[in-house]
Amino acid sequence: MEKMHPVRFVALGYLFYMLVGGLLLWTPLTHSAGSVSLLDALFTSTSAVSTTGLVTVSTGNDYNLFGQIIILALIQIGGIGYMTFGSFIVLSHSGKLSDRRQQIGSSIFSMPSGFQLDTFIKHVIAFTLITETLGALALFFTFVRAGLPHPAWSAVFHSISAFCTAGFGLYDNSFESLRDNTACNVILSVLSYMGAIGFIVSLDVWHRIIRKSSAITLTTKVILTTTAWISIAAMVFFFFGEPSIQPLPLNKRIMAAVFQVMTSITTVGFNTLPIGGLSPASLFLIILLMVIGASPSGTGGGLKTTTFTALLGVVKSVIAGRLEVLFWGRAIPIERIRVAMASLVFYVMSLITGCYLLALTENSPFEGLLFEAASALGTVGLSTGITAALTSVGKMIIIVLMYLGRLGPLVFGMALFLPSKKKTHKAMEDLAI
Amino acid sequence: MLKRLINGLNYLIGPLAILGFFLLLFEQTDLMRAHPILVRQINLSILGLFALDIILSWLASREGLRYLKTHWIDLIVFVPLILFIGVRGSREGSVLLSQTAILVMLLARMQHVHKLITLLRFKPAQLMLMSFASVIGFGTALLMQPAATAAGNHTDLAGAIFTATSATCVTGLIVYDTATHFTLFGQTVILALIQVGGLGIMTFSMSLALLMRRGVSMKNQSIMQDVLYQDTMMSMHRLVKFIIIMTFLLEAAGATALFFSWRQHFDNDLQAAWVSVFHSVSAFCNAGFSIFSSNLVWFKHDLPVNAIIGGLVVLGGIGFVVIGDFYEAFKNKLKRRRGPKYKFRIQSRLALNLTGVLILAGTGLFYWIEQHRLLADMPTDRALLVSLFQSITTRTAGFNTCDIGALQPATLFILILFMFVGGCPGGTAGGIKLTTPAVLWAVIRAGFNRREEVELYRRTIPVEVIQKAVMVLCSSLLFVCGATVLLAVFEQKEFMAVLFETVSAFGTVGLSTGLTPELSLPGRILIILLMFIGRLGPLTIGFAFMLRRIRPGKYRYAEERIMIG
Repeated sequence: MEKMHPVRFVALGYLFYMLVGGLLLWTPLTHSAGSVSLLDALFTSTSAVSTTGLVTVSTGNDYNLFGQIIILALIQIGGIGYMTFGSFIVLSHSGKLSDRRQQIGSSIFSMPSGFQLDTFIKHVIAFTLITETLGALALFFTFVRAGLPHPAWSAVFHSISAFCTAGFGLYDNSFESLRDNTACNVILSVLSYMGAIGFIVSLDVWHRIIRKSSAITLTTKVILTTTAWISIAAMVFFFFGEPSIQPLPLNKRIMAAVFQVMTSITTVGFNTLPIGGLSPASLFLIILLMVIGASPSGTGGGLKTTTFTALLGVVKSVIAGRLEVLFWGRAIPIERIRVAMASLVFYVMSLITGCYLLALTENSPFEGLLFEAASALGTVGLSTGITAALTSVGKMIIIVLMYLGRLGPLVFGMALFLPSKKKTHKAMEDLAI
Repeated sequence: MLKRLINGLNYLIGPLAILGFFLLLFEQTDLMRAHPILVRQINLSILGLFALDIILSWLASREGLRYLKTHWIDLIVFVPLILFIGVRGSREGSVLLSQTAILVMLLARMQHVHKLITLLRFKPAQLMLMSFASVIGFGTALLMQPAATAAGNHTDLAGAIFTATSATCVTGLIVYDTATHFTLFGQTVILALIQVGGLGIMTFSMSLALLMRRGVSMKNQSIMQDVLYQDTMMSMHRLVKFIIIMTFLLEAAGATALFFSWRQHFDNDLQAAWVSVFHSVSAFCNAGFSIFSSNLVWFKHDLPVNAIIGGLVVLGGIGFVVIGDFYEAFKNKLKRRRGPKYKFRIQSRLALNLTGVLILAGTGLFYWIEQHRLLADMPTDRALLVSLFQSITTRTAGFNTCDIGALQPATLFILILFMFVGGCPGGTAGGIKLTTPAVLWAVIRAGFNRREEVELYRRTIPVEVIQKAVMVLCSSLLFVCGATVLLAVFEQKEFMAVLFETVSAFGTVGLSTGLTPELSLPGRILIILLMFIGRLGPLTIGFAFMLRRIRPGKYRYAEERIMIG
């Protein structure tokens, strides 16, 4: 195990959880007998481990409590696992671990006696559990007031599902019936944004708030600024561009726009509006948001805001005739740009291939298929409503896309993190932030 | 005081002369006839300013009548001014007289425009942008003339701009049927615009490359670097001459070949010749304009026509680096029978290989998906011909021998990808160009092999080139995605059609599922902009709009890593 290449370790780990989860969800213990096929069980399991939220069978109706608990466990494992890896990669880049890294040697997994890694993972888990508990409490009171059945279980389930940006819900129409419930909207949004920006960034912000440290790291700054700008721009566009919310009163219209944009950019995948009823323009906007996705240190998927910003930085510097790519006055090493570009190409190619294959196997309109593929690859979980009607091959394509969408960014992140065979430029590596 | 006033006026007169020129061109069109008073007043004020300038210069010169003797041509300005003020009604004679006078005066004043250009010291990218814009403006004016539109039809301003842009940017999207809506004069204008646009883009891109090689100005290096390395020591003049001669030769050859295969379909030879010339030029410039209402659907099984048009499209889209290389290799072979073989440049090898691969792949994919659908009632060889032609023409020309709107979504998706990638740099093709994905692929391969240098055909690719490839890909994606969202808002049509339309416009292709004539006004404006941006390319647009001049950095910022993925 210690000798295993980390990339392979992560890839096999996810595969293992997917298969075990799939088998468990297939057994009649978890559902009323005969209602879930093996493929559907595998689909659900992959969707849960990759924190996507696309479903071919109804989580609330087809699975019993035991089945729901297993799904929740898979979400939690997938979410925490992803966040730990992601955060670790971020940390190793921001220089905080660099002196230790040199002691540690070539691989993250051969850390001696796990001194820092252990505490770090403990912190991540504690952070996750505390946030989820608070979220569940808040949701509980909201659900009680809204008069939903089984408010306690529903609150726990949705709190975890939101924080892990999974988007699994116990209700078949997601949160469409709670569209105008302000509290529910706010709680879910806060949980999702926290999950999407992740532990490191939340910690950074928290330190800044209690004035433990005066400066915010560059990665945090990039993540917060980019997420904020994209969210705001998309919300404004959605507010004006979407015809189906125009009859709503102003505050509800704003809330609906905010929630739909939030759910796409954080890659949660809850929805308060029927996605299938949105205009093509809004669908495409959501597809773009899903492709850009969340941030590397969190549980969300997508291409990642940092990659997006780095690529914009290249565009800017080429126009300005600069060789260096600058971010808030700091130059980014060229290897970063190369990796950003490689992940963009990987992502776009996966999306194109997946979408093309779906167009061959399915009979639905094209935008629905593109949406479905983008949603699976970005591990979002929004759908125009065609998931359940997919052919078997189509379901397999989506399973592969969800797996790739979860794994791809991690692999690229690690390829960066792992020392290359050649010596890297030492001088660049340990600059203070 | 007087001097200062004249100086200020001089700045104004350049733009005013341009405005006056276009006003004159538009005067006979419906648009201007609808607002006669407004046109009159604008004309009057422009003339007034000219007159003011002349009087002030005269006063400032203090030479009295001697000044008048040397500058007698300036006095012409008073002829239309008097006519305008004196003659209320518009008599044929007076209008003609005043217009001729204005034209002469404007031509005399053109030096001011020249002065303006040198004064502002435009960058090559800006010059390119402005020359395309003015060709489009000129073409619009000509297409607005009553003589351009066939009887019973009406050309509005947006439609004329759309057609002129589509022709100049060698796209081929049309809101009016070129065959029936325009007269022979209108079609000639369109053909001229295609030729000017096609030659313009080829000479511009190749000259920029040459300038860059010469190191004309270190300061502006990044502006010049966009295109490619030109190793032969051809001077710019010779290069441009070579391009123009080659273009006309190839187009003439194509037209002759087309003439003989089309002759039998037409009543008289003159008509056949015109049709052949039009399609030959349109094919070589990768425009995709056709003076058949159904484009080339009639000739879908005509092997010679397919071969000629397809060959012209490939030649035009493969770029002048390749044509130049072939020319050099040919010359080498003639000169000495033995000796070292002429070595093709990386650019050429890349262009040839990728073009071949893409044409074959496109044919295969098209045939594979459509064989039981659109091509179901054709024998295999004919079906393959249709697939091959569509594969060639999709990457930027925009002719079609089948109904694009009737294709499967999967096929349309493949076509969209082909349109986005486009042809090769240095030719008339659009899109992000084949070299961009090639460089990106080389970068990824270098990453897999854990090599620091990015290599292609045993050559190291410099960092700037990689950054440019990234820039072109990202900004093209941004442009296309943004435009698709906007167009989807404007049009409320099927999503696939909207996406197809934007990519077709951006890649200057000209294929359409049938959405173009139904576009709303904002949709038309968006597509016009997109064709323009797609033609000039993200690099040129970026350089043109960069306001700050590049200075070599006095200092360098500290490097810092940022996490990706």
